[in-house]
Amino acid sequence: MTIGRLPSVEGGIQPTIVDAKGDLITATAADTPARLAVGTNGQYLSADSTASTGLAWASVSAGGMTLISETVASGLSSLSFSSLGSYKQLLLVWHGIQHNAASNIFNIRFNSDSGNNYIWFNNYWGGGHGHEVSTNSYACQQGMAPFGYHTNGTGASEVANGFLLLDNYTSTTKSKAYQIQNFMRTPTDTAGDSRGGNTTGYYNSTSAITSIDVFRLSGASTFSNYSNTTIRLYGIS
Amino acid sequence: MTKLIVNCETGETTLRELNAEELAQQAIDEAEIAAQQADAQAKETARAALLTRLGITAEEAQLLLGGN
Repeated sequence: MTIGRLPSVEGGIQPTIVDAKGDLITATAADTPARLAVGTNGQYLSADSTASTGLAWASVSAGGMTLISETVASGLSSLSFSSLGSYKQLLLVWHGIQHNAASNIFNIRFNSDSGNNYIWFNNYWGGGHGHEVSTNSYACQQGMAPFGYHTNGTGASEVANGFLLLDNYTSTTKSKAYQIQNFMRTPTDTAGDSRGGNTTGYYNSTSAITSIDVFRLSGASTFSNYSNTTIRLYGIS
Repeated sequence: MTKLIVNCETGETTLRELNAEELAQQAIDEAEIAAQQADAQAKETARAALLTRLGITAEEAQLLLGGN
């Protein structure tokens, strides 16, 4: 008899069933022991009815935020983010947006949808203060112009900044809530167009959002990023 | 007029001119916003004319209506 090995008696499990450090003795059915090799560092053991042993090693979800893309706009009339992946939420952050002429409005839509499918409430300040409410808008926001309005200065502070947080955008059964916070400053700061605000709204469609589109609502200018600024899109797991 | 399309899965970027459909939508948007601005301007003009006819200032009108 070999030391460390059970005699061959009915009901015993032979030590040879395990082969390596970390091996676990499990079962694939009644009275049917089986070896389960150890997972990789950091994994946890999870019940898995599809696995032969009913168990599987799984990795902890990374979670957090993933930088999906970083864009530097240069002389654009329109910017579209497509193939957005499958995150829980998206966060679009823009900074340093300047126009090359006055009297232009750049706004945001989803899926290039120009229908009256955007429902929102907007608080604003600067250039007057107050609120706007829309139950049938054709864009994510209106008077606040997320990507700038009269934002045609040349200095570092004469820009449009902001972010868009979009929830549950892959859903095909629910409408999609979003939040926009933004600020813009005009070159002279005298036209009443330096303003900030926040918008809470939702996209009143059950279609999955497959693109975020920055588009020109009015005017003839293009928009660009000021030096050392970018437009970043994050996915939130 | 250029449009930049960023494919977030591949990282590929495409720079192209706006197509006919996008240009048409832009014209519709432009007309819509112009109509809104004209409407707002007309209301402002009417408000100023009314104040003149009443012989009061905007602040006095606000007081009259009980606003802050």
